[in-house]
Amino acid sequence: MQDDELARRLGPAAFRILSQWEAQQHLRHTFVRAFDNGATDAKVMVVDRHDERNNTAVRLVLKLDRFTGTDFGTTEYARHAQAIHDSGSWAKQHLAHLVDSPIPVGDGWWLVFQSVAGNLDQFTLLGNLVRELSDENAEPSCTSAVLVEFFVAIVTGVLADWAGPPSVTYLSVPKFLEAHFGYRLAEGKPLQRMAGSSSEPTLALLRDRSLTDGVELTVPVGIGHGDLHFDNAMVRIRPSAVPDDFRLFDLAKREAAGPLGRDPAHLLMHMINGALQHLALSALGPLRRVLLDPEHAQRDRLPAWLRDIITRTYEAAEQWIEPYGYGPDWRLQRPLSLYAATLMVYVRDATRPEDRPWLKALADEAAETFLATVKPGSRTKPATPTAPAARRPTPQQPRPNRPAERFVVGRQAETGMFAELVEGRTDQRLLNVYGPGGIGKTEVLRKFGANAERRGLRFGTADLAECEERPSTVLRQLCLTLIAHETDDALLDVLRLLEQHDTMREIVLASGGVDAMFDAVGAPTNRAAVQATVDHSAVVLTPDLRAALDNRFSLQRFLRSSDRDVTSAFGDAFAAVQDGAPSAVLLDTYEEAGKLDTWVRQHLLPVVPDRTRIVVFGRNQLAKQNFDWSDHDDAILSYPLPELGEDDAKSYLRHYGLTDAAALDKVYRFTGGYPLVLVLVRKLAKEAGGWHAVGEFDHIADRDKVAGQLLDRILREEQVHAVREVIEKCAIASWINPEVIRHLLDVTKEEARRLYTLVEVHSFVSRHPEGVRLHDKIRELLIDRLRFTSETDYQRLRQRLLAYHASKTIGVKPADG
Amino acid sequence: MDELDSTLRHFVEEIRLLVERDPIEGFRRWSALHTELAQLGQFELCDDMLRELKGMDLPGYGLGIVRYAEGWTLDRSGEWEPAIERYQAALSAFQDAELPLDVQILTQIGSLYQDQGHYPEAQDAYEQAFESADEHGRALLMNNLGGLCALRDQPDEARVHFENARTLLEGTDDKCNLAAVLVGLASLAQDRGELNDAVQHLARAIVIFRDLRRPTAMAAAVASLALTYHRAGEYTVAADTYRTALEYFVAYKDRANIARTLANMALTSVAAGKKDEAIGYLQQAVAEYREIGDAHGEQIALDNLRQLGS
Repeated sequence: MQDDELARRLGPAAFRILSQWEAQQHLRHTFVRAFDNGATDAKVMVVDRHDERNNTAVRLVLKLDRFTGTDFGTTEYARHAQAIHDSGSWAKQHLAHLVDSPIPVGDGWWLVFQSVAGNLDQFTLLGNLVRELSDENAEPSCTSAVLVEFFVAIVTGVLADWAGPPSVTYLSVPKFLEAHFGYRLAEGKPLQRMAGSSSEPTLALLRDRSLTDGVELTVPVGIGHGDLHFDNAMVRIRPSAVPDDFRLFDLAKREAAGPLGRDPAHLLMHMINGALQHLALSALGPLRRVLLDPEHAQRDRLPAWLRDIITRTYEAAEQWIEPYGYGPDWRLQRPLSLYAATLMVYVRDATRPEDRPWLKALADEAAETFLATVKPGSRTKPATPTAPAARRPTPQQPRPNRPAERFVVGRQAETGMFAELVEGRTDQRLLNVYGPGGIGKTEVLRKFGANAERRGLRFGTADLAECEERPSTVLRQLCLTLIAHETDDALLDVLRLLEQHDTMREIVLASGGVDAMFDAVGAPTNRAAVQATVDHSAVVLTPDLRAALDNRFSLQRFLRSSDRDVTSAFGDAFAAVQDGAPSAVLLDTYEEAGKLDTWVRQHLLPVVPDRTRIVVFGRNQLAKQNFDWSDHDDAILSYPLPELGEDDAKSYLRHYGLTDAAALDKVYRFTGGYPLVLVLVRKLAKEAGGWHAVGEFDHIADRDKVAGQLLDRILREEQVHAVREVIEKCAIASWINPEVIRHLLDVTKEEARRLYTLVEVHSFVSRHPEGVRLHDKIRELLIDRLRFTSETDYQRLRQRLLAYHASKTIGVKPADG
Repeated sequence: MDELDSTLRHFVEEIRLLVERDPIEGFRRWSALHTELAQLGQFELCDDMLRELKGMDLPGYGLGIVRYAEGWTLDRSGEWEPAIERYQAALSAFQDAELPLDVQILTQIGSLYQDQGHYPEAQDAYEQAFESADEHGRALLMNNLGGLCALRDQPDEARVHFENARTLLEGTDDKCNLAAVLVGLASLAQDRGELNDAVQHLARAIVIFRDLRRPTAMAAAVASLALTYHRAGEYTVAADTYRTALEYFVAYKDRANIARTLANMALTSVAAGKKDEAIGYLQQAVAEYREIGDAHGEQIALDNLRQLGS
């Protein structure tokens, strides 16, 4: 029963009060779904309110939260009401609206109902999107480009539309920081304790006025959220993403005249704090640098989505402030706002202890950046050794080790295997670690990286999902992560070579392509125009490259051999800097390699130095991805990520929200720690609406049978019969889109489109260039199930699919079909 | 979304389903589209198709299909040695699976040997294929044997083979290979100085190839026509005709024919007294031959360069 679920989530005391209140109002509430992520004490959920007197219903947000202060004029409810009053039409659209008066539960707890404009089912928390996109094992509900647009829309909305034209006030640096920290400096709060400790140098900027003596800041102020973060913002993603359509709630910290730099910085830092655990080690240093200088040369070392969120939100804020003439002040204060936001995140209970050193380092660097601008030569604290710019720390200056990741606490066998590999104690040079999505391959990669770093080994990493199937991008990632010393000139030369080759391609593109540049026999059609493009290029081309631009056939040979040439140069440079020492290359997300697979096998692997060991992480065994790898069987150590031990499996389940000890035991026993089954159980919980709805499992020894049973359960949970039919029947297709649905289910175009909109958000699917695809193993199990149920139906569907594909292929048609 | 990428994905799915049901049908469908794409210069698509296929769960003979397609792609880009290796691997895979595809593959192997001047090996391959070929297969082999004899300075034997092939093909629907025979006959006519006959054969072949939308085969016939004009001393017409052929080869990325045409254009330039132009063409031809690993062609182009004092 849904009411039982509401009772469970609110707890007995709050539920009892609510029930009494409902009886008086002739109202009844049923739980729909949770909205919180379990990271805070507050409970946030979607409920249906049934008005039994008028026989109507409305969907609302219900929040159970605690107020520990004494001034009830500053409760969330009071501030929220004031915010609505002050904010006019923008508030109607973008702020959650209060419904009824707050209901006291006792002991400082309050129940508050809120409504938002629009259909709640179409929204999700911005934080959910960030978590999905930063976790390679999750299935994202939107693309990274859309996520970036959400951030830009929220920053623009908060500054340009909510705050509008700013006022300014004139503040010293400590006052500026106090304005940012606000209530967080109240007696007993962690920041207040931290600021009070003279042994804590990071907060010296707040405590020691002499450091910024004489510095007065012109500070834009106005209406601000005060606690803007990604779990306080809902965004519309269904039926399609609409970046401008967001809703903000939790207005307890809202201020009428707060520092306007705080909200964007806080939103950004909150998001980064959530993403830290998923970032490659090699991205952490660059991230600090790019936050402080968005044009920093290391920006390419960040995942594109993260880099774009930083850059675009900075730009959005500047576009708002610039017309008012305070652009220079805004840019000057940005490191200081970032410093404050970083420390606010640093002291949060939910912040992972292992991330705190990084956050502290960012705060220190932000303070130094600010001071270097306003007080050249000054420092906030004694100089600490830092890695040279654009370099990974050298083995002599190791970054503090990141402790074990959240849900993979073990994997000692894998780390041991890596140790044997890099120590040359295996017959093979290449280790292939594979397993289904969601089981923690990237975590293992990080462990390998940390292990290599501890050993003082040079290692390079590349995430193939980020490389757009371009060898030059892989090589750039590898060079940037391999560079360990200022004197690694050979690798720096490769980066320059890559730049030259990219420039050549850009010149060809700017000149309209090869055909536009030359006549049929190879002579240039407009030499002067090409020359002008070359002259305007920021990169100076070598004479050989310039000569290649003078003849069609030379240029085409250059373009054909470019990848091979730079790869060869990379191999030479790698060997030169390694000088015979062991090293490692770690390639992640290999299932996304696509065209890169041939290049990796034929060009990259042959040029890496002999003592370099390669680890390839992916969903599939290499020989399954491309059977050419079978030719190298003897050289590959294939390693399917095995069952997780009990502790690890439970950590995994806890990571996905299962916290009850008894339930953890049951689910672990059922899955046996088997990766695919763990993933399926998680999917079942998601489809069923939560772990509470999963129920009992039968213990079966055969893992495929366990997986099959789970699939049955998951499909039974599917409430729309037609969606179940799409998933079951379209499993024979490599991808699903409205056309495939139309052909296989024999439905109208309109119906096919409608079904597709339901299927494309299903947890079983991931994106495909033609639509969506079912996950490989799930597809395999569903096909077995279909054949078992009816071989005739299977053959009939197959025949339909063949006819459909044949109709879409150019040229000759098959004899039948 | 790129339309060609989408077409490729559909094609790969079609092949996957066909191969599961009927390997021979799958193989024929694959070969037909592969040929079509190669004719259109879509070598990247051919590579993409291959890569997709290699990620499928294929039966044992699937290896044969993949190796054959690899051989085809390498063959068309002039990389003859690895192409022969792939064809031989395909032959073994099909023989292991007792699939009767020897004739087609041995014919391809023979053609490659022939192009590289390895005439005895070419002869062996054709003769092996002949043993199990049907009538149509024999017609194709006769055409190839005609070409081989022409290269070995056996014009009379060549003519017999070509005429036999023409007789067998005239009554069939296979106009494409009939046009190929006509190009062979034109070549013989050129050598005999019967230039009008050569032009007639080539004109007919060009029309057939054009109607069948075989642009690179048509361009090869156009290049042969250019050679005919060259031999007739019509250097300006020859140069223009070569240029037309080269435009097609460039457009459809037929690298082996690009190299060959550049080398031939140089001879026309020399004959027309344009030595510097000839040197430029030969330098590019040498680099093109070298890139595709055609040592035979590279050596001839280098010899010609030396004769020009460069």
